Amino acid sequence: MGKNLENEEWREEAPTLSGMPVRDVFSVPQNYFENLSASIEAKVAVDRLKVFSTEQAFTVPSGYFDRMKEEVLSKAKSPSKVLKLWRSNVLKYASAACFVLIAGLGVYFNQEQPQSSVNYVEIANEQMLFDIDEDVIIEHIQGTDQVAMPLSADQSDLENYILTNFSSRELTAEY
Amino acid sequence: MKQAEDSEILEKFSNEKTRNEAFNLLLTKYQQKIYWHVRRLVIDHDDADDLVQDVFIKVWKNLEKFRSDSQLYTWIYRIASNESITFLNKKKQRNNTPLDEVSSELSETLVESSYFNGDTIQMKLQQAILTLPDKQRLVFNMKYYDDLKYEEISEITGTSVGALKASFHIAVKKIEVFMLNDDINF
Repeated sequence: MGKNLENEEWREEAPTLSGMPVRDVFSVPQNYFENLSASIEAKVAVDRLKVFSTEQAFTVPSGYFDRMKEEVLSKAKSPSKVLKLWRSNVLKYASAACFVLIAGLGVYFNQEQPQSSVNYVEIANEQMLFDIDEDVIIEHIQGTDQVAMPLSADQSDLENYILTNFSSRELTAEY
Repeated sequence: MKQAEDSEILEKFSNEKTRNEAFNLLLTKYQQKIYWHVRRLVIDHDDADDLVQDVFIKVWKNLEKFRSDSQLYTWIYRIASNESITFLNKKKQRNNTPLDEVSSELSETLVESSYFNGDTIQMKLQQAILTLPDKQRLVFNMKYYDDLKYEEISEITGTSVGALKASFHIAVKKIEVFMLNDDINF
C-alpha cells in the first residue's frame, strides 16, 4: 500500500496529466523492429572486424616521418638553383651570330627563287572550261583539227584563200 | 514467444559457442524497450535508430564485465540513458545552441516528424515534456512511461531516490501548468 501511494501521489498534483492515457505517440517505419536485430548484429560483426584492422598493415623505417619533416623544410627554405644556359660570353655571342647567319641565308635564297604569282586569268579560264560540258569540249577540239571549209565555198573564194595564206614558193614546192 | 531470463542470457553469453545466440535473445527481449526509451529523449527516429545500435554494440563489448550486483535491464538502461544524454549535449555543442533553444529544436522535429501519430492533446503533452531539462525529462519518462520504481531509476541514473522524487514532482507540476495554459495550442 505504501509503495503504491509513493508511486501514485503525483496524480493528485497533476489531475490533467493523470487523466490522460499513458501511450506512446511515436511510430516507426514498417518492419523496423523485425529488422533491428539483424542490423545490430551486423554492426556488432563489423565492430569485431575492427580488432583485426586497427593495426597498421604497412610499416615505415624508424624515424621516417621526423626525417621527412626536416627534408621538406630544408628544401622549402633553400634558394632555387639557377642553371646558366651559356657558361661564357664567347659562346653566347657565337650562338647569336650563327642564328643571324642562318636567318640571313634563308632570306637570301628565298628571294632568288622566282615568285610564282598567281595567274588569276588562267585560273578563271580553267574554271570556265571546268564548267563547260565535256562532250562540247571534245566536239570543239575535233572540229578545230580540220581546216574549216565552208561546204558551199565559191571557186573564187577558194582561190583567194589559197593566194592569201600560201606563198608562191610554197605553192611551187614539190611534196 | 516466451522471453529468456536474464540469467540464461548471461550464462549463454559467457560461453563463446553460444554467445551469438545469447545476444540474439537479449536483443529480442530488450531492443524495443530501449528503443522507446531513447526515442522519447531524442524524438527523431533516425537519431534513435543510430543510438540504439550504438547502445547494443556497447552491451556486446561489455557484457562479459557485467556484474550481477544490478539487474541486466537497469544496466542496459543506464548505457542507453548515458548515450542519449551525451548525444543531446553534443548536439548543443555542435550547433552552438543555447540550452533553452535545444528544446525548441526538438519541438520542431516533433512537429515536422512523419512518425508521430498522436492527437493535439498528445502533441501538447510532448511539447510540455520537451520544456524539461534533459535529465529531468529522463527521470520523468522512466517514471511516467516505463513505470519504473524510484530505486530502479536510482540504479540507472546514480541519483538518490529523494532527489529523483523531487525531480519528478517538479516535472509533473511544470507539465500540468503547460497543459492548462490555453494560450498554447497545436
